[in-house]
Amino acid sequence: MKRKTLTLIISLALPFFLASGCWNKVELDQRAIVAGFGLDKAREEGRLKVTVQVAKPGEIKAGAKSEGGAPSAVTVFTGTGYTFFDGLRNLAMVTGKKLFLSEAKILVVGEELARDDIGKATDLYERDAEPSTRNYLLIARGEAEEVLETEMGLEKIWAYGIGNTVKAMSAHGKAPAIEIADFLEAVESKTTAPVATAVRLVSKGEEKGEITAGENKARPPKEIKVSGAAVFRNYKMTGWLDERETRGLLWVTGKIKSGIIVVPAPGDDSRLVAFEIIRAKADIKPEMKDGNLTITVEVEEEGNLGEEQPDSVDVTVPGVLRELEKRKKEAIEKEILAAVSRSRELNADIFGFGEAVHRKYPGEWKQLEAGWDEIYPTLEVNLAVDARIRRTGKITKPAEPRS
Amino acid sequence: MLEDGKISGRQAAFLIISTILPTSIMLLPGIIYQEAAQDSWMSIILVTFFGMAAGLVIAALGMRFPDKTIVQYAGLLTGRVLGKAIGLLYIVFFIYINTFVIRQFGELLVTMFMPETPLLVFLIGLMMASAYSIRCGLEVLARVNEIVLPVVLGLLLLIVLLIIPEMQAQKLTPVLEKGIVPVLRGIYYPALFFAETAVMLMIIPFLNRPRKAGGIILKGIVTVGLFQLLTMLATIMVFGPRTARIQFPVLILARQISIAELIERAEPFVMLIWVLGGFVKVAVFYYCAVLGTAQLLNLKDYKSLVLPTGVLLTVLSVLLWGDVLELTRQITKLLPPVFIPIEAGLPLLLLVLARLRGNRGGGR
Repeated sequence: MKRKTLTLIISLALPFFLASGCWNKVELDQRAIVAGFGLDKAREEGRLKVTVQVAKPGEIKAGAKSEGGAPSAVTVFTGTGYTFFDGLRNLAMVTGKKLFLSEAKILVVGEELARDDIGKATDLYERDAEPSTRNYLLIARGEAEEVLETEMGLEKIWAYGIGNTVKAMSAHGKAPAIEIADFLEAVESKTTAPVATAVRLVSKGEEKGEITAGENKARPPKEIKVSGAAVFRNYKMTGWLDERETRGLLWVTGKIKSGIIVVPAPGDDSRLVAFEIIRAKADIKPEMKDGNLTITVEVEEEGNLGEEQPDSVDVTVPGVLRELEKRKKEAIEKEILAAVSRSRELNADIFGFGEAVHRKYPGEWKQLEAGWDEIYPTLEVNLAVDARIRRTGKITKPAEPRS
Repeated sequence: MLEDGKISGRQAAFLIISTILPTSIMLLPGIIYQEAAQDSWMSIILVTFFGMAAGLVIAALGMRFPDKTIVQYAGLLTGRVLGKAIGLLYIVFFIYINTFVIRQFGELLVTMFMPETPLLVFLIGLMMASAYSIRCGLEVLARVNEIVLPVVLGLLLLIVLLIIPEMQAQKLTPVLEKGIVPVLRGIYYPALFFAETAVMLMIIPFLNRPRKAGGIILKGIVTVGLFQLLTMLATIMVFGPRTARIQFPVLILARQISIAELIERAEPFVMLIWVLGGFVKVAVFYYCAVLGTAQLLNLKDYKSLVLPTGVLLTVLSVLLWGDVLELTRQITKLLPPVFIPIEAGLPLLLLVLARLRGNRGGGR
């Protein structure tokens, strides 16, 4: 009897201890959910400036609008610390809530810090339990803080908008999509030069020449532009790739999924023809002959005729399509060569040619690896590009004016 | 008999898998990669053969005494005093190895899931569950494991399937870059895990058909080898050289999963694998230690030993190591040279002795 009562009491009391939730549970409304991180050199020597873009869960649903007109559900906080981690914790002083890092999608690093040592940003990502190494790594021309403070397109959570843009830009070949894990993998390779996505701010209308004085004097509205790439040697940034060079890089690494190639029409250079890339494949083939190393980059591209400016080409004439294919092939080759020559300037093996050699010639690699810095700038790179046009769209010829 | 339960061949094979797999898939990929790099998967194939050989020795020895555990028959082979010493050695082994497992169990949960929760909270929870299952007997543990193991293996398969889009087969090349030596060195650490079939030295007498022990152990080891191979390949193809630096690669593997932005961060699966599998693993070693002690001291019942042993295990697993690096260092540096001989060497020695003396413990 006594035993039974005791058992009953214990089993009734157990749920109070066991069902009360986790040890260090934090309710959703007590969390500040970080959507994106920014890291810069702080003005004070030896400190880092940490920026977080925090999502406001309440406003994601409500569809609130900020004054600017663009939808927003984020707040941006900035603080400093001796390290990334230190800075994040110091931010709790201003946010009033503990930061939750698992839902972030991007890490933006300012150029100055990237040129100094980006390792200050990446270690926490691998080590800490919360952040994900699948976050995109972006390098800002200028300050990361400014990028995170700028509204982004139609996305309410701006940092997510940047993440989506990175993905889209990578498929189109305008910027690489580099996750922190990819970046570190390249850091770990003895020869491959890491790259990261480049991002910068442009004044609205700056490129279109629309900006007028007097309008918004204090701070002309800015737009985020994800384009190009930053090139590293180990943890130090050494230079930029522009959009064209970036697409050259992405051709070689086989990352291009779509995009547009524009070439002048045969016979009339003032008229342009645009092709849509449907699929592309790439292969890096090293070849060693009598101690001479050459790299052959094979690219197979397939696409459609997307647009022509009338009345420049008549694809129904036999041979014209072949001529267009040749022009497209040359355009691709030019982009790749631009990337190759830029990478030689920076002496940075951004394509992973070294790793390709390593895989094919593991025996000879030992000697090559040590001298790769001397080998790379003069390495012979051949291109074998195969560009095809499969379809011409719904029409064959544009409307022909009567003459 | 101290233990009235009988377990079937399938239950025993399941127990073997649960005894080896949970910790081996979590810890080994990184450790093996440090030695054998992209050829680590070959080390796993080789160590599976080692595990089969060790398992056959253990089975051959056990089948000579189908109704006795090693604590009971060691005396028959070597004389009373030496026999007791061997029995004690195995009990200490079962306790000591278990402290490592228990601590690892807690460390993973603390590192990856709940950094602010005290380690002891996890350990006490784990030990209470284990203690309860052991008090219920081997049969109950085996039946629980019959439910648990399919879940564990299923989730593991699921993780490997979901991570396929992130794999790059080229990370496996160049094959045998530094020759066969690193691959052979890569066998050393996993051998410790693959010889954990030593628990069968205590369990064979409770099989409903002890004569089948050899086949059972082989089935268990091959299954473990296959799953280990699968996770190792997945880890190499996803992480490449990063594998060597990652403490719990399978967990990070699950975290990398991203299918159409819909299925992401599957680490709760890993937590399930770890908690369910880890529980059975700890309980098996725990059971062997408790049962062995009772037999060594000629007790009528082992139940009175369950709680004290549990307290001992919990306390030791907290006190023995100050930090996680020391723990890993001991698992890789200290344990293999001491434990592999206990797991596989000593049974071999006893088997030879039994052959020479023609001992067969048939009658009761």
